[in-house]
Amino acid sequence: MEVIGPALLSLMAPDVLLAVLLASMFGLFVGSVPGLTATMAVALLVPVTFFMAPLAAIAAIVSASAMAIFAGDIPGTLLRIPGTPASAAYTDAAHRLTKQGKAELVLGTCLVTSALGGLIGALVLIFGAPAIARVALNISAFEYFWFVCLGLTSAAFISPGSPLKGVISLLLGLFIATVGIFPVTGQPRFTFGRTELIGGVALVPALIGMFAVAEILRYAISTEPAAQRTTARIGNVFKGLIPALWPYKRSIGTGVIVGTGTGILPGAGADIAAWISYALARKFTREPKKFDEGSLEGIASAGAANNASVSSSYIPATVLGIPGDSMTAIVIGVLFMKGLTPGPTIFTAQPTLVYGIFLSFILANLLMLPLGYGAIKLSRYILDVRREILMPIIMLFCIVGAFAMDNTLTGVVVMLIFGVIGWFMEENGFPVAPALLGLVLGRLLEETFLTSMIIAQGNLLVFFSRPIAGTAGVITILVWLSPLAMMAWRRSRFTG
Amino acid sequence: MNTLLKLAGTAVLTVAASSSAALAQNWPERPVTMIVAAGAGGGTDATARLLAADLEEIFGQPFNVVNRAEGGGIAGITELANAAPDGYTIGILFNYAPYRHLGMGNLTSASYTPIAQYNFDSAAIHVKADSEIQTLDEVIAALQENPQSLTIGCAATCPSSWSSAFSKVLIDQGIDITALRWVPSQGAAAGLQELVAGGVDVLTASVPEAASMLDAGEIRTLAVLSEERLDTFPDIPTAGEQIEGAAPGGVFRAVAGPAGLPEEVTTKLAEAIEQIYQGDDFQTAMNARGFGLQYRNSAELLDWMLIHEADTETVLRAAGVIE
Repeated sequence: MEVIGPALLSLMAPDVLLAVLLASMFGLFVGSVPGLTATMAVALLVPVTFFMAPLAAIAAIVSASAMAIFAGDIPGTLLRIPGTPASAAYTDAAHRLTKQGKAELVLGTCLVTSALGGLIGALVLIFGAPAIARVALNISAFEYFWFVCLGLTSAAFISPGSPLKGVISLLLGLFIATVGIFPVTGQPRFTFGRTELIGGVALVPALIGMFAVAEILRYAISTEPAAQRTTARIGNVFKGLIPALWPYKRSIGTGVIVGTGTGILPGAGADIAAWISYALARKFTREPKKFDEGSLEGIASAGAANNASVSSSYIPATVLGIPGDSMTAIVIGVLFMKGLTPGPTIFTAQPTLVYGIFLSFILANLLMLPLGYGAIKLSRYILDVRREILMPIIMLFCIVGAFAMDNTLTGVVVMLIFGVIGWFMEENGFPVAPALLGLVLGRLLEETFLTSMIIAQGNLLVFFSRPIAGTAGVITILVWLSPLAMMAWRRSRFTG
Repeated sequence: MNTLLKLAGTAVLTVAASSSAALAQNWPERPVTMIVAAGAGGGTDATARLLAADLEEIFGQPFNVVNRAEGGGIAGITELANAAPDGYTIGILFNYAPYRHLGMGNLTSASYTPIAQYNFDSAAIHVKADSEIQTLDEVIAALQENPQSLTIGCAATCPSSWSSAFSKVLIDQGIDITALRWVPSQGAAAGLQELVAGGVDVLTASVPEAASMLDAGEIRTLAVLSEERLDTFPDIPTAGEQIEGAAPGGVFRAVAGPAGLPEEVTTKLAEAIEQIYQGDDFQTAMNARGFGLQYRNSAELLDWMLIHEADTETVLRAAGVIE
């Protein structure tokens, strides 16, 4: 750990600090614009990083991604339109509180828990990276399959309202996830002969559609006068925050653990971390009634989780060169471009650089507090903008965002179709969150199941024969059976 | 935001380009779009950006890299084939032959104007570090004895470019590749994870893709399917050293345009790419990332594309994909 000193010094170089500051502001902007995602913030930075020294380049990416994930909460809270997929899980909850005039408290919660989650994730990264990466290497398709099943189970806990409608929504998401190449043989499926659909329905345009476009449609159709305008005063967001959050320390802790764990798993990122931690918070809350009427608990938990996962996703990326999500995939590319090969040797060959990168997480998450505060202050003006001006501007950004993911108009069409679907579902009491969860996890579920079946040659018992998979499998099945057991128990108590 | 505006601008220009025939003599008079059928930050993207930066310098016009990663690349290379052959849309072409047989489009060498190849990465066979398998012979022997005895990762959807190259070796050794247990994964990184986690016994992927795991001592590379040992990894034996006449195979990357590109444009581009390829900067950058260097001019590239199509057909026929 004697490398921390020099690493800190290298991070304090003026060019690195300037890169971090500019990238942070850029990340805050991109994240807080509905339609533009954190991944896009990172992708847009890549050409710029070609001209930077390695540490400045990666520190810039680190700062932009952490800031963007937090900033996604701002439009989610104020407009019910998440800025990035990672904020989607708790957008409803956050906006509900805004309507009650508590926007200040919600944004403060998002800011502080984001920074906290990011900082703890960074500490895990600094002190545990090589050891944790080795453990993560034991995760094969069997383990993933059970993790995905557990993740899908959380769909049942996410939204209030009819469980049947939740399940229908989830199944719709899973069905949409089957569009595209069949993962085993590579044959196109449900694509109607169109090359645009071979890659499947892209998640980000679908998400922009279901949240942002659906919200715009709802506004356009609504006959209510502009009573919606929330004239919440946003003053000092830190005021009264600690007493408000203290009762939820357990949920925040769970969020940090779930987030850090999800980040370490290759293939699962900040959005999945937020969904699962929000579901856990809702399932285990001590105040179930308050949770659905408007409570900070789920927001705090998921807000911490998504930023924690951004930090910890660098563990497999730096130690093993395995990307944890789409953002670290780009980071690995940038490292290669700088002539650095991720892997254990980077820790011995370039320790100052690696720990400089890790420390940049601490810097970025500390910087988040003042910069995020400024962003929140500025964002209150959004509420003063007349909706008939604001909504078309958001629509414009949505189109740009949907287009820029793959540089194709297909994304825009997908966005519009899902906008109508999302609006129709909401109007009829179907929650959209489970559908998105199905879309996020559907491909992973199918791939891991089929891969496992190929490896096991069709023997289902193999799903339980590896220690971690066996444990996860038993837990999953117990969770699934628990409502039945509860029902049986209640019935026997009433009759007996 | 600048990049976004640039992208939007490029899109508009591309549309404008298709409506008016450009004069090939004065090419390029405006920015050129370079379609990369892979995500930003990946290997194909990295090599394309290296080329684009140098091409921009030579021709004095921007060469804008546009990433089209959907569908494992099929969307991007289809778009390249369908682009207007006016020289303002070019792209990076790689192993395209399997798509046609898998029911995705009808891409053949006739769909493109070959310009120049600049990279070839050989397939390689990897096992987990503590695996009992020590040599490629042992893999072959085990599969000859019982084709079901080992699981083989494709490092992508099966059959992948890597697994196809290995299949060619196995077919020549008299192994029925339809009886083998091929395991797909989402890309090389996921395949490596599966290998180390014990999900698969053997993995096919390139050496640069596996370099981090090799460094970490988590895996061993049994053989690389090239004619000679790689300069960047001289300790890894070739397949030919272990098995007489083992066919080399892997992934090529080349610059190509849609079919019917004006001759002047092809010549100008080919000369520029050869010049870039010979330059120290390009050689250093490619070596630093472990990319294999191989140059083929337009005519040689066309020959190679025909070989690639024939080899792919042999493998897919043996795999039962083609009846």
